[in-house]
Amino acid sequence: MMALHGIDIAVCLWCLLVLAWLGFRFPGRAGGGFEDWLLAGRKLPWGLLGLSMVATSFASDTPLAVTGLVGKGGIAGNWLWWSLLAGTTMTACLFAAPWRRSRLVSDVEFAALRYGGNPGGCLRGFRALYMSLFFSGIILAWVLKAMGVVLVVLLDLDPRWNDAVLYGLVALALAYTLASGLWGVVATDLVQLVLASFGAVALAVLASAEAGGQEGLRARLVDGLPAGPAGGFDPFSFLPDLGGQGLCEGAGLLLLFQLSMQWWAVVFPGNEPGGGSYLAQRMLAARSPKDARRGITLYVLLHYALRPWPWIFVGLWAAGRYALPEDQVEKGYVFAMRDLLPPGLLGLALAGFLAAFLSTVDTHLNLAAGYLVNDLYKPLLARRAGPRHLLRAARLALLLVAAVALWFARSVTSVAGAWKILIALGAGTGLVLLLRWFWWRINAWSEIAAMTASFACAFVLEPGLRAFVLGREGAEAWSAWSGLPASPIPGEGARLFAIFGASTLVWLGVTLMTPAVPLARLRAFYERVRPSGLWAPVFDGKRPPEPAADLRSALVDWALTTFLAFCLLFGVGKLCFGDPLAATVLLLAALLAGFLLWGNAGAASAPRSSAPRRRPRRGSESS
Amino acid sequence: MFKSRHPLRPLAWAFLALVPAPLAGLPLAGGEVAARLEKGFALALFLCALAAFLLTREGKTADPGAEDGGRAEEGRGPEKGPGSDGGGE
Repeated sequence: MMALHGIDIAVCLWCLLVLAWLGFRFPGRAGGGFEDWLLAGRKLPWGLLGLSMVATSFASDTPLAVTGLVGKGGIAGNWLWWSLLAGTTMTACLFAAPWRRSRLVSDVEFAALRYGGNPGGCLRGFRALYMSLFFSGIILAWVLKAMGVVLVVLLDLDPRWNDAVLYGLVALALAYTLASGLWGVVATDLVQLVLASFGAVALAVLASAEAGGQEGLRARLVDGLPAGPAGGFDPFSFLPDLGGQGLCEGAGLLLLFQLSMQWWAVVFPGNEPGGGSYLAQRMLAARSPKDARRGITLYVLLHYALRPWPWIFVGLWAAGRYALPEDQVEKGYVFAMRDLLPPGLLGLALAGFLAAFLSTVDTHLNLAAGYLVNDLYKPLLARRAGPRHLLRAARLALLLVAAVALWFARSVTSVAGAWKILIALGAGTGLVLLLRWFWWRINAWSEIAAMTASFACAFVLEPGLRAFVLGREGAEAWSAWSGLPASPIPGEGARLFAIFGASTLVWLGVTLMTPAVPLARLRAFYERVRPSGLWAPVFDGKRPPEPAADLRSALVDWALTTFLAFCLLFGVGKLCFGDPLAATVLLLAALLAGFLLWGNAGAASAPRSSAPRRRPRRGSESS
Repeated sequence: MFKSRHPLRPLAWAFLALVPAPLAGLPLAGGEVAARLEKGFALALFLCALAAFLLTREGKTADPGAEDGGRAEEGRGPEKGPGSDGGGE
């Protein structure tokens, strides 16, 4: 039976109507040319950037995923993604400004600016295809699947009608992205974020009221989560439970990898070390390097520290209330919506879910079309094309991307399997993506070797990846041919260490055996981006121009921002879960870190503004 | 206050248009907590609209102090911004 009332449907439709109106209000701004459409004319202020990134990363599957993590591992289950926090703060403090100074149109174009030549061109083309069709296809398939789960529970429609609603939503996102480009995307993102966040908070408040507050929830979960591992554990603990194992075995080794290396060594879709995909697009669209940096910092604080707590609370409530089997735990969030929200609020919460879905779909459509045009069509077929020509091409590419993504969503049976390919390609490549900004010797072959080695290692070590690529029979034939056991290195943590180690050895060897990028290109890169690090050899013994930022100061900023974000994360958590003393201490520590950060920013900028600095040549600044 | 050519002015109107959405469910809210949430949300949307109106009033542009040669907002031609080709091939 449908859980929605007439008023819910009316509220939901009204919200969609307002969003559609807003989405179509920017065609004039996007119509100036390709860059205006893809990067909003590089005029986005930091607040809008940060909020837009938070909205994009809030997809329809995100509350469900957090509910699943909490249902299986308690609050500490979130360390799976909290461990990436330091990587994102690193992007904010060390890479956001260089990205903006690079004045690239897409992150994939970095290969052309930094490496050039045929290897750089091939890398750029491969990445463009991979990011625009495969990566976007998987993301869209993933969010379509999650949205389908929500609609099935709340609308209870015939599957064909369910699909029709989903495709109608994709068509809406497609239409306003076509018309308004990134301006439309970020403006709708802001409203979508407010709607989606309020829905989450309302659900958490009602869950708390239903459970009888903090104590009631604790009483329900006192014996450990029903869906958790046998033996029980404290679901309210913020620290992971290793089940009696040490840090060098089993779950401990995986946790060690997550905490110590995952955030800089592994490329996760949407969590590229140093920034990539939609994060890089937003940094490139900032109105200044400072806005890029502040925007990412705002994103880190909201995304990691504030937003997850309502979901976590609802996840705990659902785990205690429904006792779902392990593969169904994620649905607890939608059941909570259905059972807790009264008419009117349910419609608003659903509108929030639809908004979260739209904000993810519109961003990835816009981004993917940008890759296809800027990094494939333009360098191969339309080198001299003007901005309006490229804009028309981008709008056509958007239709192509949407068609491919929908086909992908329908025909790929295992989205999780396709996800494994994404992770396998990036499991050992994080370091090379970081060092390419700091070490002149990195070349295009370094990145190509890192990706190839990472995929090859993952293929040998991960039985799930082999089964997806070769099929079950092919995987069995492979095992018989190679003589290797199905899983040569048991344990995910040990496997990840092995993939990283082997890939790093391969790309380092390849880098030293292949010629360096021509010095003229490296000098051009340096003069445009002015990064810190090892660049002196590029200038043949002459003194290179000063880097734009002091590396030591940026590292202090990074440490302080990370400390601030973790204190805020746990401080807000302690406040939500009834520990005011710990919350006060943590929030005061966060405040102190904020003051120190402010002071360090002032100290870092003061010498640069007062010291006489060589003016860059006019030609290099505007080339 | 209500007339502005700021690029983000439509946001303010969108927030204002959404204010009735939570209030629509109020007669059926089903409990004191839910009713307070509905009113709170309507108030939050109204405050968002007010903030957006203030932030996008005439005189506030979207790109003050662009550090790297940002272009004028209106009446620009189809030419590219400085260095926008990214040094590609």
